Amino acid sequence: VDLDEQLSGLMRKAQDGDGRSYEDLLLQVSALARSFARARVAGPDLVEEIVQETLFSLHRDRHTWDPSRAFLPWFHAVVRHRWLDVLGRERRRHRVEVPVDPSMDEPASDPTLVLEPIRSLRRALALLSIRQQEIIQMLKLDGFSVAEISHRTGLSESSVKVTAHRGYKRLRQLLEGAHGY
Amino acid sequence: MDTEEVIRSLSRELTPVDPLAPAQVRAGRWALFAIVFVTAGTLLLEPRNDLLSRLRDPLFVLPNAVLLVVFLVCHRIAFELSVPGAERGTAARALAVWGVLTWGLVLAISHPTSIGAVPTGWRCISRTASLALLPSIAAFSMLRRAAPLKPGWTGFFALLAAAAIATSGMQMICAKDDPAHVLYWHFIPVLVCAAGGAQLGRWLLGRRLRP
Repeated sequence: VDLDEQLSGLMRKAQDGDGRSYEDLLLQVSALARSFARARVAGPDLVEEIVQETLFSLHRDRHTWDPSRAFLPWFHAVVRHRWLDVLGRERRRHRVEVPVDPSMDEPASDPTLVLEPIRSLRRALALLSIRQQEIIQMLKLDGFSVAEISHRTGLSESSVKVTAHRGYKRLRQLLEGAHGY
Repeated sequence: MDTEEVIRSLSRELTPVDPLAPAQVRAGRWALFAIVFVTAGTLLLEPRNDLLSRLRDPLFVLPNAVLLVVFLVCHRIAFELSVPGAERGTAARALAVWGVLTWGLVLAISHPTSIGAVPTGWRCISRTASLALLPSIAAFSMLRRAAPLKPGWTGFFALLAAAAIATSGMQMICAKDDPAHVLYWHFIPVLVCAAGGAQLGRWLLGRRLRP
């Protein structure tokens, strides 16, 4: 069976709410996205970031696929743009990467140095995706619960949790990179 | 969270969705609404007295035909850009942009008067804005339901289409045919509107928390 026909069939069932077909579809397209990303970026973390961003986009925008059209051109447009997004984010990250300050290893003799980690955190937060920034802001700074965020944004609770989790992971990597913790 | 976990999580929360109508169908619906709205608005604001005779003048008809072509091309582009994989090549985009620029160039060549020498046309601006407002809102709300991957361009072409049809209506109302008036108070607002559309597109159609 032609791959496009097979994926189109699964996507049609997914649009009707068939979870098993959807899981099958996501497994297959994640392999496609992974091979697309591997050919373009180095590092397994970046590859998985592109794959996961693609899956989130596919999930969020699944209503925009027209069942009368081929699936693969639609999917390739999504994965290509997620790759460009991740690439742009990486470039911005490298441009504003915070150099490791050797004085950070010494105890703070000046109380103003206490502010430095806060500044680093702000800088790192600004490097996350807009979605991650908004959810972490609402969750940790504005004090909203997951259910409230889900209600406000229209995302499901598990999407909110997944996005926040990925944001924390990225924050940890950025802060470790900046301070060598 | 690893990718397998993401897949399981997304599969668990799957709900049925109604697929959006094809881009050309949605574009057609919007165009119909925009044409009906601008026609009604033009009739309400009273067309110029000499409209029938002006419609026989090629110098009046041609620029309006260009505006209508820009409207027809741009609205299709905007709706196609809102669906991944549905966008076409750059030829149509170039045609739309060149159409507008040719109109501006012809106006600029035919009457290079400075803006200070031309009576103000704020009335034209406000009337054009009132003709373009609802179609613009309708276009953005329809485009937000889709998934524009190039939000700036999508917004640009959506507002260029709305401004083009509104200005075409305005040409039927405003009796000032002085090219300088048309250049400063009809043409430049179309460009400003399109540029604003690009920015609005980035804000309203860009990466955001979309249900």
